[in-house]
Amino acid sequence: MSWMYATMPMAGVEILWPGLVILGFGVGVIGGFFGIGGGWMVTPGLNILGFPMAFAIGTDLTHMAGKSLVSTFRHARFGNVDYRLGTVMVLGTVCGFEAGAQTVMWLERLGKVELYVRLAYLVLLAIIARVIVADLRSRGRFPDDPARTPRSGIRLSERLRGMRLPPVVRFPYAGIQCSLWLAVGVGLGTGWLCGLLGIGGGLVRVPALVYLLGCPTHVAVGTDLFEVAISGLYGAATYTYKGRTEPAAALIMLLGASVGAQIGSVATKYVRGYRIRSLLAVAVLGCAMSIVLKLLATIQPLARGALERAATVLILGLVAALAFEILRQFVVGVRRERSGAPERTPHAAR
Amino acid sequence: MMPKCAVFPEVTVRLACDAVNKWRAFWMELYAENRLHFTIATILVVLFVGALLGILTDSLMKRLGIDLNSRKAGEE
Repeated sequence: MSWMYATMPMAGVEILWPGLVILGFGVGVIGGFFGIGGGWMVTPGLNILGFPMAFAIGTDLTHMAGKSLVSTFRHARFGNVDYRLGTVMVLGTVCGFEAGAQTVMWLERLGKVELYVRLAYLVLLAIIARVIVADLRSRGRFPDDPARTPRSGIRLSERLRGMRLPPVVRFPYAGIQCSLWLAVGVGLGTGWLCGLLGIGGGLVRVPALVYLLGCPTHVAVGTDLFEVAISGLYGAATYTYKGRTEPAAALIMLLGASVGAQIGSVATKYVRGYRIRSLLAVAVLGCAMSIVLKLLATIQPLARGALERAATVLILGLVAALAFEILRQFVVGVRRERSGAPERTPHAAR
Repeated sequence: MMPKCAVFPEVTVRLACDAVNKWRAFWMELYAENRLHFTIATILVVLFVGALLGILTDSLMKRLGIDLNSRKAGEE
């Protein structure tokens, strides 16, 4: 089975290359489907496949920089990007990002990067799982009713925007006015998390833009993609310069991700919003489980081999199964549409 | 008097080029010689491949009847 392993010259590790293809394509489909980049699955996935954590972060960021370029241009053409807000936030994002990257380098010198970044991932995934489960429960009886959207976040953004620490800036596309420091602060916090975890940050930045700054959702998504493109480029550059990127792996994943992301984004047309959230919950919990197995492998040296294999099988199996399910829904939806059958899937309430 | 370490022969470190192909050897050499050039080359290649694949898949999807560049599809 040695032909299934490729030497990664920069990281100096042997990697199961079909795993990279599955991860790239699968995460592309999943990321396009959920409307997020999927970096939160790629970094742990690469780490579980055998990349040292700093290389997993750098490689994920590099493939993301290539992936986000086209979607950013697309949203810019739709007028969904608030460039003034994006430019102000970039100041904080880049500073936060570098702080995150330096934190990783510092943890690597201490020999603690694997443990602490995995724990940080577990905390992040636990928070996301909690939010999704709460949302699913609150909508349990009326799964696709938009009127049941929680409003506490909107009140928080109004309170934050009320703090008029000068200079106060108006952001025309987003239609909001707030202190420059609030926008920079949001960029700084989300940037640090992105630099530390090697994610694009859509998962935290879009909710932050909506619930802390009060952006309309479509402007939040477009402006977030602008931030992802800039911070992805910066992240790729800084991690590559630090010698923590594997370009070959990034390119293999980019190939799969570009095709997968388009299929995933179109598949959302055929699936109910409630089902999308349920699948996201499965993805988050499965990813957390594989990280726990990898952590246990470091604690239990006797069962290390078995636990590492189980973590690899779980993450790759999860990505492949979810991608397969999304592809299935996509094919069924397209067939139904072409045969002229009435659409079964109202998606307006996503 | 010669320092003690000078009695050791000069050590030349070479890449194990037989284990990797030419393309990989080029990147490894670039990495070893100039980190800045390596970074710029990596970013340019990734951006070029990303843009190329994006444009290719966009046109492929358009042929399948899904225009991702239309506002309606984008909002969906």
